[in-house]
Order: sequence, then C-alpha cells, then structure tokens
Amino acid sequence: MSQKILDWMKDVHAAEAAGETLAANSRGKHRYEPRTAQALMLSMFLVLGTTATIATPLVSAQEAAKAAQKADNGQQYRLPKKYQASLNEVVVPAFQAKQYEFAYPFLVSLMSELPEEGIAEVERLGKAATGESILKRFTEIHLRAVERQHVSVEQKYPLALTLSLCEQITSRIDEELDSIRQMPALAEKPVLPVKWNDSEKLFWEIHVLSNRLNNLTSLASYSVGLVREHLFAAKKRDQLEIAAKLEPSLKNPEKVLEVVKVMRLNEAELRLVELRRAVKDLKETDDFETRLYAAYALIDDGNRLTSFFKELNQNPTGRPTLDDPAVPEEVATLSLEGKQAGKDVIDKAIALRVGAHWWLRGRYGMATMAGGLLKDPAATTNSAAMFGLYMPKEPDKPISSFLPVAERYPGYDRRHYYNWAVEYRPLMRATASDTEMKSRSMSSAVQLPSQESQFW
Amino acid sequence: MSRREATVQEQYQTTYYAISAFAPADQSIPYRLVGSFEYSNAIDSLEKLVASSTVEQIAVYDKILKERKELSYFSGMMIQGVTPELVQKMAIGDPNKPNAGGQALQEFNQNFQMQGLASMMALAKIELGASIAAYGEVKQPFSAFPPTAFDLEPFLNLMLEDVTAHLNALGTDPFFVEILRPKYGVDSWTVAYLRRLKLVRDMLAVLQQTNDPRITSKLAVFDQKLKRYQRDLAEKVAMVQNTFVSSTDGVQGRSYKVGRTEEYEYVGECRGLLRSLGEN
Repeated sequence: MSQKILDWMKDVHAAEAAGETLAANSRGKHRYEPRTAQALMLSMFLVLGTTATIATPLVSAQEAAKAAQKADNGQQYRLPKKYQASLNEVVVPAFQAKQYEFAYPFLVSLMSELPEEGIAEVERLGKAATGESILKRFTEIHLRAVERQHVSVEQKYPLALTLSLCEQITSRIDEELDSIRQMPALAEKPVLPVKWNDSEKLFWEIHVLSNRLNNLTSLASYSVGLVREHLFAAKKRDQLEIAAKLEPSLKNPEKVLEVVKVMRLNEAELRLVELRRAVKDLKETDDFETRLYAAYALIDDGNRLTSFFKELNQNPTGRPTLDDPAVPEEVATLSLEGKQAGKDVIDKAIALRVGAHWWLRGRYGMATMAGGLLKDPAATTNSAAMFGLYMPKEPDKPISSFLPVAERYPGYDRRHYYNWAVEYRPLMRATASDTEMKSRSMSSAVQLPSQESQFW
Repeated sequence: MSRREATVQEQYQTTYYAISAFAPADQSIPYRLVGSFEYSNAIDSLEKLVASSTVEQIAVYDKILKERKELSYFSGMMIQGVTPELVQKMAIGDPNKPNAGGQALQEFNQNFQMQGLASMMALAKIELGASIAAYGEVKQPFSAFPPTAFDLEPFLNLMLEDVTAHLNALGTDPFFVEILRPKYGVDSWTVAYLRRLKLVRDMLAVLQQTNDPRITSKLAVFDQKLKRYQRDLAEKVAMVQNTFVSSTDGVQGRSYKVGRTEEYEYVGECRGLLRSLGEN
C-alpha cells in the first residue's frame, strides 16, 4: 500500500522536474499560517464564535485502524465518516478558496492519523474536487512550518509519507549547503574588503546566510525526530532497506553544523579585522562618512565578538588569530577606546542603521496570513511572532509596478493599496451536519514568498 | 493598479444553514499588518537622527542610503504621467545595455525613483497612518506620526499620488461596480470597500490642511468622487437593509429584523463605517 503514496510523490517530483516547481507554484498563491494545529483550530472556533461541529478532525485511531483492516481484507478503502467530513467540509472548500491556512491543521490530522491507503484516498478525492495535489500542497506548507519551528516532532506520519518528507528535507539541505559553500563568506581565507560600504555588504551577506542556516538547522533537527521511531521499528524487524533510506536523515544536523561552524569562525576573524580598522579610523579620521561606518562597525563587531569569545570559553578553534589568549582582552580594550574616540557619532550611526533596517523590513517583509500582509494573531502577545517575517534573500531591486510580476517582491508597491481588502474575520456558518466557508481571494494581486525569500 | 484589482477572484458557495457567526472587530489588526511595527520603529530612529544632525550630516546620510537601491521606491507616475511609449520601451529594457529600452529605464528611474532620508520617512509615515486609518477607530490616524518640515514635501507629494491612485482605481474597478448591482448582497467586500473609502477620506483630510495650490486645486474633484462612491455604497446598504423583515420573538416578545443572518451582521458593520464617513 505504501507504494501508492510513493507513486504519487514520484508524480509530484516528475511535475517539478518538468518545470512546475513548488517555488513557481507558490508564487502568487496563498500559504498557510504558522500555528500549531491545535492553536489554529482553537482560533478557528474563536473566530466562529460558536462551538458548532465543524467537522472534527481528531478521530480515534481505532476507527482508522478498522478502516485499514478492511482495506487489507481486499475491500476498497473508504474514509471514515469524520475524515470524509473533514475533507469535504473544510479541506476542499479551503483549497477552492485558496485559503490553505484553514486546511493545514486538518491536513496534519488526516496525514498523521490515517493509514497510508487512507492518505492515498484523501489525495484521490481531494485532487478530483480541487484539481490540485493535496499531498504536494501539504508537503510544501509543512516544510515551511518546520522551517519556522511551528511543527511538533511528536506528530508522526506513516512510513511512506515520512520517507518522502525526509527525502525532500535532505535534498533541500544538500542543495542549500552546496550553494552556501560557494559564497565569499565561506571562503577558506575570507578577506575584508577595503571600502567600508563593501565590507557592509559582506556582513549583510553573512547576516542573510546565518538566517538561512538557522532555517536549515530547524529542518535538520525535525528530520531526525521524524525518522527516529520508524528507524527503530525497521531495525527491530530487520527491514534493512527501509532503514537505509531513513538513516541519511540522521546526518542532516551534522552537515549543517559543519557549515555553521566555518561561517562563525570566518565571521569572527573578519570582525576582528574590521574592529581594529574601525578604532583606527575613529581615532585618525575626521571624514564624517567614514566615521559613521566605523562607529557602527565598532558597536556591532564589539558586541558580537564579546559574545563569541564568551561562548567559546577558551576552547580552541584551530584558527591561530582567534586562539591567541590575548585577543578577547584586545576586543574589550578596542571597544573602550573606540567608544571614547567616536562618542560624537556612535548614536547617529546606530540610529541610521537601525532606522534603515526597520524600513527595509516594513518595505519588503511578508507575514504569514492574508497574502503576506497580515501577521499571525500570536503577534500581539509574542514578540517572536511580531518580529518574524519573510524577507527577500537579495533585496537589491526596489519594488515597481512596472517590473514584471515575477521580478516583484513583494507584489505590492504600497501596502495600503491592498491592506483595506484584508478580510480577517471569515464568516462561517455551521450546523451539526455541514459547514460552509465563504471567501474570496486576491490571490493574483499579491505575490507570495517563494524560494527567493526566507524567514527570519 | 486597477488592472490588478480587476483580477480579484471570486470563489464561494451559496448554500444556507441555520447558524452564522461573525466575530467582533479585532482591534489588533492595525498592529498585525506588516509595516505598522516596522515603520513605527524606523520612524522613531530616523526622526531622532534628523533632530540631532546638521544639514551637512543629513547630506552624508542621504549619500549612504542612496547607494543601496533597495532603500528606494517609485513615485510620481500618477501625477506626472508616464507615456505609453516609455512603458513600451521599458518592457524590453535593460539599464546595462545601451538600447532604447535601457535609456527608457534610466529615464524612468531618474524621474520617479525616490531616494534619501526624507522620502523614506514620508513613505513610512503614510503606510503607518494608512494601516491605522483602515482598521482602527482613531479619528486622525495620520496625526500619530505627522510630517515634519524635513519630510513634508515628499509626504504631501506621496499622499496626493496615493489618493489619486485609490480614486482612479475605484473608478475603473469592475468588481466595485459588481458589488453595487442589485443581485449582489452586502458582504465582506462591501465592508472592505467602505474601509477603503474611510482610508481615502482620512488621507483627503490631511491634504485639506495644506495651502499648496497644486494640491488644493484637486481637492474639490477628489471630494466629489469620494462622496459619489460613499453615496453609492450607502444606498446599496440601505436597499439590503430594507429587505429585512420585522418579526417577533414569541417567547421573549422582542422585535427584531430577520434576513440572511450573515448579511445582517455585515449591514451592521457597514452602518458603522458609513457613520464614520459622515453618511447617515
């Protein structure tokens, strides 16, 4: 039976290979919102303002097992009623309305509680009703949720789906790491550019890189949690072929960590050089522009290097420049001297950089709801949810309506041209037997995060 | 803008059930809209910077900011106008290649690319005020972060362009025409369009405070257009409201209106917005 899902996933991969990539598909379309299944369901009930039955997705495992048993006896698999209701009354309408955020928690339940033939049936029925692959969309939004650490590793999935998820996570990690290793910040002997604005660009690249690596770390840890139980079961049953497919996921954290380590050491070496230059410039130069750059570098490098050496706790790094026991002391002395020499310009340098950075986030940031315009409700109580946004990896193009849609990120040149249309209170009507969701989407009006963006 | 709005998709089912529910207005929306938190922090830092700097120092900030293309945006196309020929040329243009398209792009960037501290602050203030205007119940949403002498000029230029853009878009929006038709009821889109009118009304209120003849000469036309849209929507809401049938609750003896329950909720929401727009 598991072969069925694998076949479907192969179809999905084939479609992607033919050019219909997940990234391309996610352009201009809605995504899910990053909440745990339970939290989202709870909020749905709160939004509804009613406790009417809305197709309860949490069905007993026995019911699913019973259905699976029937299937094994050669009968055609039939979804248990409650799963059927979940699919027809929530998932399908949500897909039709392109509001995947509503479907996601129900999909998590379907995928984790149904046996493999049940998932295959969900895919068959869902595709017939919505015209798109439920599994493909689920995988896409699920991996994004993992990246943002909004997924519990406690949630288990059938073996075939687990294999498919892990395969995608591993290949994504390998691809990203390959591309990251080519970047100047990862060079064997990185060199600090001579011009201040060039070194600023280099540290921006490191900042982006560091966020990419954080996302990969989340994916890697998740993949380990996902396979552990299946791997244990496979080894116990001597299913060596399955174990061999699962084992590569265990190496994911190590692979990411290796690159993180190189990047952190390179960054520390570069910052040490920059800190020395900053203090020299603050002491010797009157040019206001140079002093502005130097003052910001002084504060930024000083703080980061202090934390770095504190965390390192005198453990050797293998880099002579960093292992010299006099260096932490030098950082402290340089910071003090620099602050004294640059006291006229430090506050201004910080205000300029901080202001520009927030402006950039306001201009290019995309959240997780309403086509990227609206943050999760948790944002009002949780600073991480308020802060986290999808940002372009290379924000070098100002947004213009005259650019082709594919080159615009995000898709709106003024937020207020679209904000008024954000419908945040979906009206749902329900009886004990049925539910209807009514909504419209502005899917083509707003471009959504793609692989060109990352969450940080 | 209007072309993009014309692509709004409508996907819904129409079967009716017994219960409907509509959550009360969520006061957190202005804070959850991307841009509110970010732009308010940006303005906070940049205003302190401007207040503590000399003109020469501000020129240096502008030089640094202008080196980063991503810290710019385009504006002025609505007011100055972009010729169809220029747009056509730009479609094939690459600024790095010395052809007609490249020149057209350069010309476009030169005329309409806004860079520097004042332009950045103006955009941030308008985006922030607009988030509060559309969803909040603040009477003068743009006064939370008002323009200063430093950014007044780009602020007013941008505001003028944005009001023009909203009104032009409303005038050519086929979906706006659609929701005014008798067969179309009152729903979340009616509420959304009223929200948009409130936003434009608040922007117009800011422009009405200036003496700049370039702006004041346009205000009467703007006001006329806006009032027409308001009236159209008010009539629509009243028409639907009149279809509600009075009934009496047998048990409690209370009198209430009966209609499609969710429409009743939306009409209530619309009445509130119409009141804030000065329509009774």
